[in-house]
Amino acid sequence: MKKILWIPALIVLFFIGDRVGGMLLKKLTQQSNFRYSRMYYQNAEADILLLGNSRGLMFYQPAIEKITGKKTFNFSYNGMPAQMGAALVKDYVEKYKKPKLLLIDITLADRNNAALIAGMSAYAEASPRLDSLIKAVNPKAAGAAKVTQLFRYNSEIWQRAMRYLKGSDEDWLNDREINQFMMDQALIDNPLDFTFANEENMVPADLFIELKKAIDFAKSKGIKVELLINPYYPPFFNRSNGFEQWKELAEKTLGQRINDYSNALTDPKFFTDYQHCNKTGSTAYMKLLKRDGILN
Amino acid sequence: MIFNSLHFLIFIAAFLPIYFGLKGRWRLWLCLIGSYYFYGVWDWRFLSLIMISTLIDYFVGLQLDQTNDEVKRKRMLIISMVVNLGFLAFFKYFNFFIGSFQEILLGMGLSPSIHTLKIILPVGISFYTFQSMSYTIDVYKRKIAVEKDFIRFATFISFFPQLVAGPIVRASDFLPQFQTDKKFEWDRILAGTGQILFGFFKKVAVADSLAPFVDQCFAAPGSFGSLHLLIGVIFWSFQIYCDFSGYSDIAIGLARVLGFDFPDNFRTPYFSKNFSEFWQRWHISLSSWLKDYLYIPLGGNRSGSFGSIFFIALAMILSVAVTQWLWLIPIYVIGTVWIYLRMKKDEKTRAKTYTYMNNMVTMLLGGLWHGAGWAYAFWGFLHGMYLIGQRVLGPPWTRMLNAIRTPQFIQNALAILIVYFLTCVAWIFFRAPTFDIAGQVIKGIVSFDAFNFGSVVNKFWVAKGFILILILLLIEVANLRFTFYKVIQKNPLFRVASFAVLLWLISFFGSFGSNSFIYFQF
Repeated sequence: MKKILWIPALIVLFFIGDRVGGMLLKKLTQQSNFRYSRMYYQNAEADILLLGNSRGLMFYQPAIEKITGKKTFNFSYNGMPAQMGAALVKDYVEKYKKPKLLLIDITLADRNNAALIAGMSAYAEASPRLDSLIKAVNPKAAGAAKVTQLFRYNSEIWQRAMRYLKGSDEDWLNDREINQFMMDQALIDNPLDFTFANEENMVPADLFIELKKAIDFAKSKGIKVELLINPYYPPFFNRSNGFEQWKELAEKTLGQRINDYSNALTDPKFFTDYQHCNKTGSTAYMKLLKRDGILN
Repeated sequence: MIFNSLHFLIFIAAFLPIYFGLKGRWRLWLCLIGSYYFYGVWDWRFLSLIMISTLIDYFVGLQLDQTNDEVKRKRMLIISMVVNLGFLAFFKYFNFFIGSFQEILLGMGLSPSIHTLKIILPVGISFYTFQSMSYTIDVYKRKIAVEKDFIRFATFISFFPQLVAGPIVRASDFLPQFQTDKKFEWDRILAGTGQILFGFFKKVAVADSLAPFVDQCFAAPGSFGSLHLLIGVIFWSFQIYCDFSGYSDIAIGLARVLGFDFPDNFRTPYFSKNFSEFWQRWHISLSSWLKDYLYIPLGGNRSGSFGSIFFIALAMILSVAVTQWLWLIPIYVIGTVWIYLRMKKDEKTRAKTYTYMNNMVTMLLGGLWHGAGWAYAFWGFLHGMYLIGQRVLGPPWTRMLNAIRTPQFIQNALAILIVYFLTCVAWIFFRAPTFDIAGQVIKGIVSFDAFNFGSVVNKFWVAKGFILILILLLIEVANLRFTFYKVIQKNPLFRVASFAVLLWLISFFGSFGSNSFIYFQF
């Protein structure tokens, strides 16, 4: 009989440690300089908002701020899907009054990513919108995060928050240039497929509809929205399938012209891989946006 | 059904109360039905293979027991071997043989149109086949008594904790444990639970967290710098260790909860100081199986047999025929002449040469046991070479270190590092989808191009990976000094604290995508 008492003792100890650990980790999350920590727990007031997946980081903040003299805030994150971007934009626009311009790289509407959305559990307490999105796309993860607080912080997003406990995340971008091997592979690797024929449960129109809700919400608050397609490494991009039809569908669903910069940069020195510019390339790209009046 | 799935949690939660509520044959029946259900969830059609193997080996066992006629007994043994190895050959190796044959014909300038078959590899076939075969061989050699109770025998073959990925438990260790009814013992349950939790930590937290980085490295090694690839290989070595030993820990822990004792399958293998020791610490149940049922029958370290010469010759011919690397021929000729000349020398040299050959054959077949592919055979070949190299170069190396008065702890550390390094080299071939990719990984690492942390992609995965490896090593090193399972049994406070820590680690670091275990494919 005595031994059976160790089971409730274990359960109690587990939950005490879990809750204490959870509180500690929450405190650290709140103190971080990572973009979502600043947005939800501190002050992230900005004039220009930037949204995309990893390609959205090409909206290189130091370059924009230097060119325009305006403050920026970038929501972008590797692999971010449209629903998550939409929730973040809505949360931001509700909380902060100042923004005048929102730039969106629409290629974030190229995937579903339930795992990444679940990774936002660390911020779910601060955002009922994110909380319900996690419940909708990943109910198991949402349930687990209710049982154990430590699980909420079991994500790469939270690890990044810890990386930026000190120092800003605003100038992060790869420095390196695409290497010869990748340039050769660009001609033979599987091309980008904008028909998404091989992807399960992937309906591009649905993702655009999610994005449209966020765009309309931003516009209703007086924010100008510019839609863009950020640059790709041309030898790779030119082999892609179904891009024009996909772009047409985007323009039709979002009800707005799309600024297509997919082939705007050609020099390999501007790229770090097939889909991403390095700092040099991103700076050059921001100058193009200024030239074309997008940043005005 | 896999251990890290909700389905399994529901299954075991229902199974355990019924198991301890039943006694005697009812409990045995429950184990058998539960095991068949566990396997059938994956694909019920392949249950027939387990049942046929079970039936054949059961009746062969009875026949072997009933007669003293050696010719008849040998015939019975052959029937069992043909059926068991026949299933294995067809389901696991058929397409490999056909593919290799096709490549040979293509190399000869012919254009054959031989079709491969769409064969699904039955999960765990290599494990339960070896377990079943060991029973028949041991009964044939009169090392163990025949099992006359069919239900008991069928449960031994299909016992669900270790059915699909081992450990391969010998009949002599396992069958006698069915003789007594297992009582509900708290100490056993707690010790078993501790081992299960540690297994889950290894699999869900360590192995599955390292997997994405490793997958990325081996998918396109040319895209990454030298340091990135090196980290990828280190991560792979720990991924496969934690994946497989994690499964073994869960299996052994589960068996312990049910009242059975299985021998260890892993004992901190990356702390081995030589390759003989490595194979006494890595997948112990397979290496001891190969030693007892292959290496020793081939002659062990005393003599040779036609078998070892035949396999070596076959491997040489096939490697040239399949790869079309004609430069191998002079190497093989020189090797054969060297072996022949050594055979002509004294008895001691001859015995040593046989040992080398038997080592090589055992490791080549051990490699092929893992998978039907030349990469697995090459992995086995490398380990064969390591064992031979250790026998040839080990004594002079130790003499040299002693001559320059190298302290023992430095000698040990050096030995551990060398064994780990060479093991990692072999792991590259085990993991890479092709020889070309393996070559790219090795070339990428030794080029020292972009050997800086700045060039490493996904640094967060790297940081998490190293933190987890550090935690794992700390637990394993501590476990070398005092066995946790014993401390868990003795000290209730330590027990609760260690369970809680493991649960916290799993919550905080675990990847819960229900990733399958790597060794399922073997």
